[in-house]
Amino acid sequence: MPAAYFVIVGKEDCPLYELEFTAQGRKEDQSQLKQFILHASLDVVEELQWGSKELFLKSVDKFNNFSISAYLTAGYVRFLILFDGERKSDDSIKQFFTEVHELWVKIQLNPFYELNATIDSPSFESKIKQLVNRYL
Amino acid sequence: MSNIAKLQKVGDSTFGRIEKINSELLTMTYGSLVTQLLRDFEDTDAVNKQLEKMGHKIGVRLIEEYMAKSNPSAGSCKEFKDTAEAIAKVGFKMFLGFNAQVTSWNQEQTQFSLVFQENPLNDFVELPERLKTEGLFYSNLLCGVIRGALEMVQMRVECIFVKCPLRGDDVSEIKVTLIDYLKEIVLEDE
Repeated sequence: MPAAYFVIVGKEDCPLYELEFTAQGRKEDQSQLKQFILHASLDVVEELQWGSKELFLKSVDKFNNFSISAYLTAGYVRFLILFDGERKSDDSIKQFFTEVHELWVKIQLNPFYELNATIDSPSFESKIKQLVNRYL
Repeated sequence: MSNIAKLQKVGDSTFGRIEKINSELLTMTYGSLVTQLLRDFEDTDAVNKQLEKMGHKIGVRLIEEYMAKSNPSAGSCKEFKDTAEAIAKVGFKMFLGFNAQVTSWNQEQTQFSLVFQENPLNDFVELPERLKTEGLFYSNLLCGVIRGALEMVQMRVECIFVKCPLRGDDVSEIKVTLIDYLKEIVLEDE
């Protein structure tokens, strides 16, 4: 599993959910740097979003050996994933995003979830982790 | 046993005839209703009570529909036991689309439990921890419906939710207790 950082960004550019996973045996302390890069890539996403009919935008940004892939939902919620070094194929990233999208829709249908609030559901977290293991 | 099978058949055929709506519409409407109540009352117990009250109002009307649409002569209720099965096999099927199991009778045959796995009202719902500890029964409306409906057919019952999958149980369970049969009172002219 490559080292990566997954984040869901809401309408007003506020983070709704984040998950960092690292390659086994490596200890890293670059979270702030990664957040910073991801934040910067939002601008690129904004530029690219009208140029594609797909929800999945493939690789949108690169910085040193970080590369970022993005996915847009119709409600303008963005899923971003940042790979540190080795990245997965577009196909598996796309599958990952598509399934996250499904989970996201279910979260939104929960009447107790307030729109644009951070997601703190434990079941969502565990399902995301399963998806990470399967596709990334 | 054959009585139960008969009732099940009645339930299925009535369900086939009855008008249906999209379950997501129901789920979302009910969800926003409950969250709005929580916002207005700010007290979980009060919300449970309010849901039960609303259910009661639904129940007293719904019994009429139940009698009209399901051919009740096929399974008339001679004793409380029949009533229980009729609720589980016909009532639940008609209005919610699934059957419930009747279990845990007490010795006097005045108390039973309705147990069911699925519940369309629970779809997509995840209760926040706070509400779990405060004891919200999300589908408490159903208790009121049963109480209201039975009240209209001269049975006073008490209904309480004891298990709910949203709180970590494996099934939903509603305990129904018969308090007494209401007698029709004729007021004497003075």
